[in-house]
Amino acid sequence: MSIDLQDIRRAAMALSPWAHLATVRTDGSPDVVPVHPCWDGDDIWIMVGKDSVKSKNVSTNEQVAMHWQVTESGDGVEVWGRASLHEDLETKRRLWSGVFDYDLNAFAPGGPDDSPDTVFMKIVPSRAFVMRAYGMAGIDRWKAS
Amino acid sequence: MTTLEHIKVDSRRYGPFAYIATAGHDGEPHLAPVAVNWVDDEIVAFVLSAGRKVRNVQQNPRATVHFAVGPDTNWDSCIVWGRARIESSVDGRRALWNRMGYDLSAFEPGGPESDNHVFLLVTPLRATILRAYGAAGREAWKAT
Repeated sequence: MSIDLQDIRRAAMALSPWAHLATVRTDGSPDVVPVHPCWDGDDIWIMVGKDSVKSKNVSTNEQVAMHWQVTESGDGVEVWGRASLHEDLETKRRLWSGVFDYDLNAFAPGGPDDSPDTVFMKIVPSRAFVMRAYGMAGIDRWKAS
Repeated sequence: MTTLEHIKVDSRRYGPFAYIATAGHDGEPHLAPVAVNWVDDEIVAFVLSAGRKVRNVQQNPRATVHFAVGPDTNWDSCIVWGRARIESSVDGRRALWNRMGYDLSAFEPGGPESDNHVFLLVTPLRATILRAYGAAGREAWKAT
């Protein structure tokens, strides 16, 4: 069954606020971290440390994968996409209030204007799937046109 | 520095599920939630032969296992980086068949003789435990 990105977004948001993000080092080793992503239209944003491993990885390889926490019954969402880092003040101010569903000040008390170690990772989805019962009850796929 | 034994003990706090990340020769990562178990000093998963992670490991043996995080374990993370291999021989599958901690027949009625499933094994090279996302400390291990 073919679905659109909004279906992916709805399924991901219904699953969990948390996801695992995979990035790849220059030597081909994958890294995985739990993240709290937020959707902004068709894009996914993650607040990250400027010097974090994931930030370093996407600066050399923009390809990422995200898997939302699966339910006990094995329902899940995976999204592949291209990531970029954003540290300009205009973007930080825009994202700081109204986009994320948690208080960013808890992690960067300086706010958007005084948080030089905090940047934002933008992920533009390129393909995704929604699986049910680890795929045994079906998988619906989406791919950017 | 902590020990692999400590990593193994800690990893069991998170339940049987983990996310395995692999990457193919094109550099694109793949993440899959899988049931894992320690067999001796290796992390083992029972996976579909035709799956992406099997293809990736055949192209690039580097893999990372991140045990599932959650409020029950105070958002701690247990992450293991290692070298992965695929066990696809019938003898190898027979040897591992009863060591996963759950009934593999429910997923592969053909038993260890079926070529539809294989075992993915990760030999740890290094590992990290992050307490509360690292805010409450971290413990690291590295193979000598």
